[in-house]
Amino acid sequence: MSGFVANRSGTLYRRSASVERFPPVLPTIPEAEPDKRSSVTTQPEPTLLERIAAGEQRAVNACLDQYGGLVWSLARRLSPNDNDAEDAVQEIFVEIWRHADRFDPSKASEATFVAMLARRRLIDRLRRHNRQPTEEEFDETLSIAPSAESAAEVRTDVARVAQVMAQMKPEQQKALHLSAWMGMSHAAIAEKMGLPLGTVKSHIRRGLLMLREQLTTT
Amino acid sequence: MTKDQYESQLDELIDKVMTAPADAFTALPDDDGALRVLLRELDAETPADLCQSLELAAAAPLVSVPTGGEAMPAHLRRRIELDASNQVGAAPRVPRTNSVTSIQSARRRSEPVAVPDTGTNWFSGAGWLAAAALLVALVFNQESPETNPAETTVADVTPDASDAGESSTPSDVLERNELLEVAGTITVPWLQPNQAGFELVTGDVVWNDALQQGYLRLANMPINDTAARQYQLWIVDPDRDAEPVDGGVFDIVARNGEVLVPIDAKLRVSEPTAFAITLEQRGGVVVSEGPLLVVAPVAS
Repeated sequence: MSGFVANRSGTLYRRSASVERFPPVLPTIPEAEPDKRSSVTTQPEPTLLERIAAGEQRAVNACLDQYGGLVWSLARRLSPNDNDAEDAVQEIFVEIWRHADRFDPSKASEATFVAMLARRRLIDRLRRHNRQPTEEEFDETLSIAPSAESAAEVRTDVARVAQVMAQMKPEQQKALHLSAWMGMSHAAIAEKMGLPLGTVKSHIRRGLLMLREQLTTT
Repeated sequence: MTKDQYESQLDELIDKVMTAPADAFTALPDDDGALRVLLRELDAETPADLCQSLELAAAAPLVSVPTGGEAMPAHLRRRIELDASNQVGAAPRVPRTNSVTSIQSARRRSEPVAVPDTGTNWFSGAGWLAAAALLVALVFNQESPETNPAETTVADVTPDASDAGESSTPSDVLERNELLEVAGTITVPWLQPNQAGFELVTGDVVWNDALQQGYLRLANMPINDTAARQYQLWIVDPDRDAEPVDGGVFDIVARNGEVLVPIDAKLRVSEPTAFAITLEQRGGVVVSEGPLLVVAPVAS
């Protein structure tokens, strides 16, 4: 008998060594089609995060130039005051430096990866402080979703995401906002919006899967 | 699995990913078949991929949040640049391998326990104090290697080699010293181990919650068979979860002198109550099945 884990009451206990492991899921990886257009292989320019992962100090400033405004803006929306927002931003960039090597351009844009780390940290802070978003933050957050017109000016992939959001009914958008960007539980959203729990779950599941599909096809 | 069951499992996972992304893996289905269905339906290779893809989807619209052209305050930017100068481009350290990415629920592979239904407030402070105390007690009360085939014996580690191999880099020494100067950094000595082959291990753990950085200092740690097994650090954190946080894997390739190992916490640690080292299969595991070889409980 060996190993340890804590149960939900906080007590550490040993685990059985005889229990089988979950069998690994082996993905089927299709063979890549060779590029017949050119026999010359060109190396793509490394992204900012790839440069940071490689230890390039100069990329730090470029990264702050590129994503500082985004992270600061998100932190201010989901923090009770500027001091808290500053702490959050500092934590978020520590995460970015630490996890830069986990960025995979085939899964999302670099900006989305940065936003993911920011969201994760901000929601974690909300949870740690056991703080519910205020009505003002709630209203502010609802303005996050861009119009398709404004997003189109920014970048194509952002525009696609905006188009997905635009396809959703206002009720579904609102449920997704509260879940994905304010970290509210399904049950809390159902109560706040006065909707059946099943409807809320369905809205969020479908909305999230639509966004996910859009990312993977971008 | 029916469609309703599938959607129910997915809803549970989504709820967790949205409300507590760092703990999302606890909402993965206990049933292996159900987990495989989720992975297949959502075209994910591993549970970690699955959770991250949902997080990315949730974050995608945030990219276009209006910034109003406002930049972060200059003093904040300077602080972040200073942080980065210590973290970006650090010299290579003690050889390490990423941990396995397959994330499993602890419940799946653990002995059955009665789980009280206490809502979301699962872990009381008192419970975790007891947990930390129990962790220490476990070290001193583990069954002897003779009676437990799963226990580590000296045969699991390579006998002392010459002094060939990696040692701490000057950068490690410097960074650890700098970390010791930072407010909030704690130093926790290892308890004297009672595991056969590990009795002479000494050293300490240096950790800073705010920076999420730390170092293990280990002297007289037995060399591991690097081809088959690696040491793995675990961080017990009462504010996080029942599962100790994976602190990264490392090799000991020379027994002479001290080794500094940077801590590589896979999840954010907010207030650790203990650090423990196990010997695992190469690459590490998600849930430890090895005995606690070296432990450092944080004084409360």
